[in-house]
Amino acid sequence: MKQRVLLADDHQLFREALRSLLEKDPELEVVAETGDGIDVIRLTRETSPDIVCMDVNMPGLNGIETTRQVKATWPGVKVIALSAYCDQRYVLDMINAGALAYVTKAAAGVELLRAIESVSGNRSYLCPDALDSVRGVLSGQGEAEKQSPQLSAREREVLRHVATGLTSAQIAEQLHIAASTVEVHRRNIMRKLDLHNVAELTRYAIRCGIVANP
Amino acid sequence: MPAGPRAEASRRRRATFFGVVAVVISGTIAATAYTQWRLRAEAISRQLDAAMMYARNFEDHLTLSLDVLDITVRHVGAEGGEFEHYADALRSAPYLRSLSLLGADGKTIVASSNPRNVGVRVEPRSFQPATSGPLEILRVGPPWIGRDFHEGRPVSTARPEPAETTGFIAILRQVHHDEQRWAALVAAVNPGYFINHYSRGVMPEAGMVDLLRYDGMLLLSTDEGRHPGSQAGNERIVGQIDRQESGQYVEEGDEGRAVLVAYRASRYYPFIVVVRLDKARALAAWREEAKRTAAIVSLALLAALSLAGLYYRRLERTAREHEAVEAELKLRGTALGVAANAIVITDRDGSVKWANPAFCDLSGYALDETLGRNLRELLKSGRHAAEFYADMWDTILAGKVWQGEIINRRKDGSLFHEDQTITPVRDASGAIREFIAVKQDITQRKASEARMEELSRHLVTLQEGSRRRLSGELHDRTSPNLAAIRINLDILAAALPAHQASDLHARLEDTRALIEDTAASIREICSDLRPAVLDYAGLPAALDSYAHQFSRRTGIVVRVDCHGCAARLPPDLETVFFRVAQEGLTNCAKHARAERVNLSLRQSGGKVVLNVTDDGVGFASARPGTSAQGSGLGIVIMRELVEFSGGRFALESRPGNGTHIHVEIEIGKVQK
Repeated sequence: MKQRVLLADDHQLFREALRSLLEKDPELEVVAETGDGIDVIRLTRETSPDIVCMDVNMPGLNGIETTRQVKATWPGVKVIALSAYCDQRYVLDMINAGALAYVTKAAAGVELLRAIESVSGNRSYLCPDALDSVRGVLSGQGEAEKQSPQLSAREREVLRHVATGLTSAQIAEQLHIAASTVEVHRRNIMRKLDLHNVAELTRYAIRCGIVANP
Repeated sequence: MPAGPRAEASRRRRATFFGVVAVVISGTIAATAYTQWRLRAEAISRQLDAAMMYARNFEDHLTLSLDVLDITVRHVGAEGGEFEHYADALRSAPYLRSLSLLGADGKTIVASSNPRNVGVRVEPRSFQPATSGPLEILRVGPPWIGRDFHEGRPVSTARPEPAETTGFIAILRQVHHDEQRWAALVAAVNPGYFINHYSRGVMPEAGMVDLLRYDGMLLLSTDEGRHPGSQAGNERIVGQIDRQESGQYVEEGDEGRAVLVAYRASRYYPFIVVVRLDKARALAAWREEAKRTAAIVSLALLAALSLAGLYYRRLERTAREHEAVEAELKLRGTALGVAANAIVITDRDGSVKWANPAFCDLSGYALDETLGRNLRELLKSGRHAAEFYADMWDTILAGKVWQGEIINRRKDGSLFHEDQTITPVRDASGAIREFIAVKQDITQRKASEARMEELSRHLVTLQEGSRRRLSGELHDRTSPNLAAIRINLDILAAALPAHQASDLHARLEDTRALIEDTAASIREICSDLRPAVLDYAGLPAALDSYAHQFSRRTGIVVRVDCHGCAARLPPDLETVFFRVAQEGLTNCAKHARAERVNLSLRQSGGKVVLNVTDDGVGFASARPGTSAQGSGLGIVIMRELVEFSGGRFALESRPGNGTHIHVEIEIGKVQK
């Protein structure tokens, strides 16, 4: 049976992109979409969705309040929070309001599909950024084991080169891409891994077996 | 200061001084000269008197001698022509050389000494005074040259003889023998006797004594250079003798040698005694005295002049100093007068003693309206608490300087702000006598400060507003756009045929990375601009969130402690604290090379306190604006933000010891 999905986001282009993405999945059916919090209540009543993908910042009624009302009326509806922010307060407030999952818009594509999959199985899901921001709260003062970040194949390749001591220009030559693109990859890797210099990157690469121990 | 008047005054003083000196010198010289002239005249007069005394003395002696001669001759003549009698008479008269009796024909008939004289003719007519008949008086003949009548001859005016030639003076007396007969006796008088006598009285070098006949013929002289028989040099005496028996005068002699002359005629006999004293010698004592006096006067004058010179120099120096002091005082007075700052001098009670024009301009009172009146009643606005005024008076009465801003009232009742410095002035005993108040009208400054503050606050508000808008725009539009692009890219990638997908796989992955990087940078920018969570959830949440992102970005460990602080504070205050924390953390990342930062937010009794402490390199906090780290502007902005909110900002940093920022703001004080 198809999961019925309601899309609530005031950004139309983004909403349409999501709709296209979700409609690729035969298991999903987008039953309605809106950009207004108050509409969400009405459409929920009218369409009885299984899942509501709820933007946190919406005109009319914001995502948090809307979620609270939706959950109060239809406790069975699973709410996935969609937000441009991943500040701890937003994540916690959404979760407290009843959201089962929290996904940042930047990572909306794959992460949203994962979230839908999780909530369908009644499991909660936090995208990596959201998880990172609430880790402190979840585990006292942030001692929890970090979820191993997922690097793309390209990023692993760049990291391998960085760890063997190549400069960005040399790596760019090796990979036939622009040096600035290599810089972009580097920044993304460092951000994902929460590392701040080449020495830390190299150490990480050795520990994870991306390069051999010299 | 123009040099003209001072130079003029100096010149006048110098002229006066030299004038007085010249008068004193010439006066002294004149007085001295006059005195000397008087002394000289006195000396001459005294010497003339001395000459006269000699003359009288000698005349007395002469007259006495001639009296004796007269008696002798009369006696001898009465006795008749006995040689023994003559010899006897000669023995008792040392000045008589011989006595001779003349016969009626004028020839000698009896001679007392040399018998050869007998028969020598003596011409009675050559005797003076000339008489027509026989008279019983002594008559004087011309001086004779030679020992006696026999071998001598009488000299005449035409043929005077040198004095050294031994000679004698012939004196004739006719003696009445009986009724009919007259005899003439001629005495040869020894001039040496008189010369000796005179020389004992008048030393030859001091002068000379002459004996003249009435007709001026020189009979004898103590001066060997004068020739008996001559009449030279006696004309004046001869001319006067009829009228004056004695006299004295100064005679200019040959070769400029003046002599003091005194003469006296014999009372009974035709002789004149003339005493001539050398004037130069007579004045020698005076001259010595005059020289000494001149020397003493010169020395005294010199000393007086030196003293006067010293006195003048001192006077001049004092005058210069006085002028300089006066000029200085005038300059200062002028400076005070034209000073832009209002300056008032009051007595101990606050009554105005002096005020400058600037004070009058400031207060609106004319100068004479303020003099003697108490500054309190003139200016007090009452806008300050009584303690404020009490504290001010306590300070200045304790002898300390009071400096502060005060609101005062003008004459027209309007209020003004002034920056006032009151300095107590002590007298020599240390007691406070006056106060000097220097005031500056800062009403405008206050107004512009208030305006500046207003503008700055407005600017901050505007800036925050535009940051918020920009942040919102990026969040609400740019980020979702990127997210949509990413999703679309994924959809496109999925839609690619398998063989193409593998070719483009790497390219797609690069594009995804670009999108991801762009999204991350937008997140960071938004977070810096204006974190949405600050408006949504308040300061503690925003600080937590910002610190978290900051740590991820920089690797610097940030410990945030917001326990004991309310979730929500007044929005303006939240902004200020967030900005300060943000600026502080940015400084840590950019300059401090810190590894750990502690950030704590506390609230107690309406006061919110933020502390940001790092373990970085620190800097010399005295000159944060010029520190090598270049963090000055950030600190200035932080400080201004806090102070505009009525709070207190303190920064403490020492090289090597990290930096500590302390901010506290009272919630109630936040100005809207």
